[in-house]
Amino acid sequence: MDCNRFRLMLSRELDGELDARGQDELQRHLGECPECRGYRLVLLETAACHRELPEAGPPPAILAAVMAEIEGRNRDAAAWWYRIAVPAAAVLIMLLGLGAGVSLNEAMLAENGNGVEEVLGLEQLDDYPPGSFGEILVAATEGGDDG
Amino acid sequence: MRDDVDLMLQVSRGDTGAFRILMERYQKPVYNFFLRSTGSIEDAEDLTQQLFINMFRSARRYRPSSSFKTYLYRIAANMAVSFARKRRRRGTGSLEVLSEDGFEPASNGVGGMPDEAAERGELKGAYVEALLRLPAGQRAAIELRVGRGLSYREIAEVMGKSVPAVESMISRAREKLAHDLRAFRGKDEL
Repeated sequence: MDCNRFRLMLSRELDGELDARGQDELQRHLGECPECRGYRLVLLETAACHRELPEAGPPPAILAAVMAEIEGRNRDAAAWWYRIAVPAAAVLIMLLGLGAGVSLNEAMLAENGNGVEEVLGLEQLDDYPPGSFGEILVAATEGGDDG
Repeated sequence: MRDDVDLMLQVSRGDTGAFRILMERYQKPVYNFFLRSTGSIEDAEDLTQQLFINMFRSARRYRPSSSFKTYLYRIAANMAVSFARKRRRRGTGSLEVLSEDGFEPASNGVGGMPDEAAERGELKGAYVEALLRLPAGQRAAIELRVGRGLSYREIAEVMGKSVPAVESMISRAREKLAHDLRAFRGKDEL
């Protein structure tokens, strides 16, 4: 008789993972196999021994040591970040300050008419060469004003 | 109670408070898993400590694809098996470690007569010795099933095996345990 298959089924039964059909088959086999009946009793004993093993509480020092390790690690990481972040922030502030200074200067120039007219002498833009588009445009505008 | 996976996701963002909650929740079962895997209090303490430190360090890579429990025991089972390999290479016998560290079976509260209690105690001692003689993988599988109450499917996930492979592994472990208990009682007929 091949008892190996039934030993696997006995193990499943012990774990509550044997289905109803398997249960029927196993019970039929146990009815005619004293060796498997004996084996089943020893299996039950091993399971009882395992369940009765003590559940020890871990020493509190483990939690303390782990927390100290990971919090120390986080502090190290924070310190590293601080060493990088402070100089980086200082540089950023300087760059922003420089950028703001340039923008402010441009804003002041814009307020004063950009200063472009003075530079290019645009108050003389009416002096267009004869026959040029500028002269025609000025003539048309002045004519319009008169009319 | 906050969900383990949510806590672990917070740990992956560096939250040490969430980590402390998870560790308080799982350090006892993990410690007992290692105690039964190694038979040594000192080794169980070291492995428990190392597991939680490793878990925190690698938390950024955590993906909640399975339950937190199977994730945790996957790390624990790998550590227990590689520890057993190293110990075998070093030639340190589990049984010496067992007796040195005084890993005693449960109190002898079963049975009314002192003789019965003593006999029961001896039987449990023989069982622990038999357990520590098992190959590390089989020992982990039987402890995950009987000691930690994981299903075959969960153990398969933890050990990276199929469910039938796990069933077979547990059954073979039980055959060896049964054989050793019978031998202890002088009925070595398996």
